[in-house]
Amino acid sequence: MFRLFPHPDAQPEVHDPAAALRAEVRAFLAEERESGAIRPGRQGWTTWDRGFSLRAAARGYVGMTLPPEFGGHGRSAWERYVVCEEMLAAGAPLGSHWIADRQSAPQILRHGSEAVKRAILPRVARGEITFGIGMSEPDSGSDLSSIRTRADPVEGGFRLDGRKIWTTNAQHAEYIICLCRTAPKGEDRYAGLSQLVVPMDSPGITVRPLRNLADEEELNEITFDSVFVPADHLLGQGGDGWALVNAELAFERSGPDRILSSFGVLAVMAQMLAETRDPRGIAELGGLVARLTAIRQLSLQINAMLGRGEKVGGIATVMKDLGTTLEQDIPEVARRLMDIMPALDGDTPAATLATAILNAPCYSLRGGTREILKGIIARELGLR
Amino acid sequence: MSENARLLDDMAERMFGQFLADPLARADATLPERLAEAAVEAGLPLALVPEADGGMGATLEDAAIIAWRAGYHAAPLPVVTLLLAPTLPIEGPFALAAPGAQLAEGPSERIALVAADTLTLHAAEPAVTALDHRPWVRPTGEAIETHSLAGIEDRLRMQGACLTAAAMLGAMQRACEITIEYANTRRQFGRPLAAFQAIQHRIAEAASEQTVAQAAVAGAIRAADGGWSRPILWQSAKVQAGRAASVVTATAHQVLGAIGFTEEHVLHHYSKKLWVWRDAWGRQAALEAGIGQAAVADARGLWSHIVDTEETQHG
Repeated sequence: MFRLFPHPDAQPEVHDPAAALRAEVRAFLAEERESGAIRPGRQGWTTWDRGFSLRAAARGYVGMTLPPEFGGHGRSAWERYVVCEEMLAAGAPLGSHWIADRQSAPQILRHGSEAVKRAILPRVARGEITFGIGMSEPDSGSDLSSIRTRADPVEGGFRLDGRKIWTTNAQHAEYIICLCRTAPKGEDRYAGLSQLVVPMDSPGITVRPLRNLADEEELNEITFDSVFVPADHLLGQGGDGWALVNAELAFERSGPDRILSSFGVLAVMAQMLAETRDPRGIAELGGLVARLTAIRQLSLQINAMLGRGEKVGGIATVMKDLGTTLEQDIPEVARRLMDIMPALDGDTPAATLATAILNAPCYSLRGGTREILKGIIARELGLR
Repeated sequence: MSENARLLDDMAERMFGQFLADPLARADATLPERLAEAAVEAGLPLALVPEADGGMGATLEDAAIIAWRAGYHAAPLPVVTLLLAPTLPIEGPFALAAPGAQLAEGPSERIALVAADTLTLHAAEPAVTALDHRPWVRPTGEAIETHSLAGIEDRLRMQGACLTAAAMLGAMQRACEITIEYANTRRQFGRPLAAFQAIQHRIAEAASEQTVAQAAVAGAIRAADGGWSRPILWQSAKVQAGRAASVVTATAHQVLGAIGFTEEHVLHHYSKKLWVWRDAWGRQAALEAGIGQAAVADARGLWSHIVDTEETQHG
């Protein structure tokens, strides 16, 4: 029976206005804008800026939900959500700490060895390290279970060989969580996979940046050539990598970063329409704001469920699919309504729209393609 | 789900199920009247009436369950009027128009209109037949009764939109179930429709829209019960319910093919309810325009307008 997200038992998001926290974050962001670290509309949340991350961490905005014993701040999932969405809406450069804060640290906290937790989590909370995602490979994109990177047992750990691709900010990363085969592919293609926390300064690692169509060097290919990884850098039990990677993806697919990537364009539209008062434009803006508000409610509910340690499954994929569709719709609506010539070096409206158009194609690719997401949803609905 | 909610849910499911589980029951012209009587007998209209006035004093979330069940069975009944009319100081029965509107789902010999802080009761006459073949009425003559009630328009707009959206969720739930069931059993080219990726993705899109609508409506209703309601929350929820309704009905009809276009198959009862509800108690286009106007008029800026509660605004 169809019960993807039934009405009667939907869990409430506890309401907490968080006004004081928002005001505090906005004051910090205003300073960052003033200093030029935030260039509205000219960067995305993947933009790498270690300085910004260190300053954000000094205010306690990184590793917020990590327990204090691991250097975290013991704040609630809701408080972290508030800080994240404020930063995203302001267009802040989050690339240096984003992946670590969003998914790598929670993954290590749950499945890492004591030594790795003690060594790495406090550094995440201090904003001093960057994590990369090691999932896709040159021959394995959406078909993730077909990966060939392998980790063979050696004295004291593993020897890692293979290649990972599309890893954002790998050239700056201190660590990458790498999905690899620890047992040959058998009848169950999802068995025999494991996740390793790999220090990027290990001998045998080379990183090749891949310039994207927006002329940015954020994506990379990583080659592992007989890289030694200590045994205690294994996440989970070994062989349970498929379950681990899917749990990690729930964090990757349900947050405000899947709604707000084009928010700058929406803000520009609102400012311009306040002047022109064009009724058609205002109605279109209203449609987009309604959509954003509705999807945000789903994101908040998922965030609360993740905060309680509940499984979210298919609804995180729904949120990512519809959220990123909105992110892609916003610049398309804007260019039909506003008299703006998109230009990378133009004024704020022109640059914001240009950045959004050039980056939009990846929104429905990164974190799982739209087609893969729809397949997951269909399976959960009992189709196939 | 609270104990109260569970009781209401069981009661509503039993009542609507008893009348509507058999598709042939809908052919009986006396069904709407008998259904309305049974609802009164079961006490459902008392849900939102305060306990001090002899009602159940239910929350909007609990009352929404009744609307959800009415939607799940595509009940031929003005469910929003059923739940909201008893909260007004007028003896029933009467049809209740959404604030600012001059038409209301009937049949009824009287109609109540709401504008600003004033509630008026008028004699009613038949006006139009809606998409679901239900009769709507309009006022005729001067007001028979006039009541001055501070805040009545805002309250009814919000509650009417939330309850209509809840009914839509119920109807979409059933429409999706019908669609999935059909896709899994109907075979073409030697395999079930559900085995075709084009069909899988189309149904996934419909279910996704509904999932977002559920979250938005649940959020709006809890905000109302919790005392932190803001127009953008319930307006967006109603808009999203309307968008989801468009996708769910289009998908259901595409998957069911010609049989879904017949009078014989039950699907059309759900589609037609959804097509009416997406523009009832808050027309989708008007709500979108209103959300846009409020957004550009807010001196705090768009982001603040979307996320900040009123406390932040004043505090």
